[in-house]
Amino acid sequence: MLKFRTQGYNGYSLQFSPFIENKIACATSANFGLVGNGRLFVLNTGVGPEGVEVERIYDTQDGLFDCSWSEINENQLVTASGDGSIKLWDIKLTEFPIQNWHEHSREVFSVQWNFIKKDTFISGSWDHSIKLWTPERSQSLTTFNIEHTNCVYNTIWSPYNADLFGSASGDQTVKIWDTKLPHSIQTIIAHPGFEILSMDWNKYQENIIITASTDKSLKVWDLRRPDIELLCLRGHEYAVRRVKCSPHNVNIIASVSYDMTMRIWDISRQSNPLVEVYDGHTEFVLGLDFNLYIEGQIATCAWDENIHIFQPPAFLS
Amino acid sequence: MTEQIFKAFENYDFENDTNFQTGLPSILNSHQDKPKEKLDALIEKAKCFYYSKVIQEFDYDNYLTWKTNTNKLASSNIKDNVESSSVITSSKSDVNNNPQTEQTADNPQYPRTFYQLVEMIAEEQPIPGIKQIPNELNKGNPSIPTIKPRPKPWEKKNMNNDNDI
Repeated sequence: MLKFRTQGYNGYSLQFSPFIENKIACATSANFGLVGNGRLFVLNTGVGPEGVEVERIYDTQDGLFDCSWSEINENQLVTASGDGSIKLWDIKLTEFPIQNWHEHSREVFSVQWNFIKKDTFISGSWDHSIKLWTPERSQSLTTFNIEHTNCVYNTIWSPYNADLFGSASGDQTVKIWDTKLPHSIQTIIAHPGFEILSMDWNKYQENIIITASTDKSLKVWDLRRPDIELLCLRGHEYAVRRVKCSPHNVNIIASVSYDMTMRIWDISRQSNPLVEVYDGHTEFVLGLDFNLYIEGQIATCAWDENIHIFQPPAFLS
Repeated sequence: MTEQIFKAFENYDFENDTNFQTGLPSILNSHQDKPKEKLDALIEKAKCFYYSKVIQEFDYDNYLTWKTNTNKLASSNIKDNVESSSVITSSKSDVNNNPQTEQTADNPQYPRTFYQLVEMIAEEQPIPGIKQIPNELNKGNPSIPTIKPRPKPWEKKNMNNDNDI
């Protein structure tokens, strides 16, 4: 178990590097993201006496809510900011970003680099819109708006189709989009009456997605038969902030929640899918990621100003 | 939809919401010398901020417009509210339970310091420790990548499968 204190900053999101298995970035905000600065931490694990060492710290005027590593340059990553800005950082340089885009009119809550078309990334905002970007251009390539009627919390690329992404929104829907089309191609009212805070694609079954909601549940969906969920995962005591599918195992997913826990689920076990509850954090857990290259390693970040990196016992067997 | 939210806000049982009531005295105590209209405005503001934060996010300016249009506005403290509404609408909320559920016991317990901060914002007190960061781009040259993209675990497994076939 590695722990790192993001002193004075509440964790919102983190991601392992897609190039270097011992590198992780974490987007944080001072004052719970209500007001004040943001800070991006770039950390190396498995080094130093504490097992975690800071490679870079970047301060921003407004809180940071998400970050995503570039898929083509191992030194670069983007961050999503409370002031509506998106910044591109190069960890070979100190202090300032190398690019700063400001098109969203409200908090940007989600950024994600495309796994396949590695020169593009996507952003989702509380202004209800989604934007497609390439680092080379000073303006966004496309804006997807007028569909979601509430905050967009999460925008996630398909691992199999370079043009396909999903969006999770406070308007109770998850939408599937093709970047070549101006409108969404599918809408699922996945948690009627409740906000959807997060979604992810199964990494081994291209039509399977998972949604996470303020109704405390997660749902597994087959996009070919979206009339009803395949499975509903109950156990979290409060809203589920984020869900991620394992990059290694078709059946394993992890979720973090306002109940301060991280939970691991096995969706092949229909009757008893909950595998493990991790309750090491002392405030809301918002950030979650699987290490792509160290199988079974998970990282979480929370409002308790802590990053935890560990191997849940369930994965050791 | 929006109208439902406004109505739910107006009908919300703040009296029996212990979280709200616990925080309220400390806001009011520091304003005891203020005239009643000011206190009413303060309570209204705190209610709005709290509701928008914990129960269901809504736009305060839109709410006031709606309230005016529906002739429900009898209070004299509207001006105070409008003037200070920027504080409230700039609040950041992300876990909103549906207004129809109205189960305050269902709402997660925010950290104590979170409520203190909410009070400070509602009282328009300056928040300490905010640094001014220049809005500048880096003048250095961006790095040239030296590592080729690594296949993802699912890409590797699929490649292996293809080879098997």
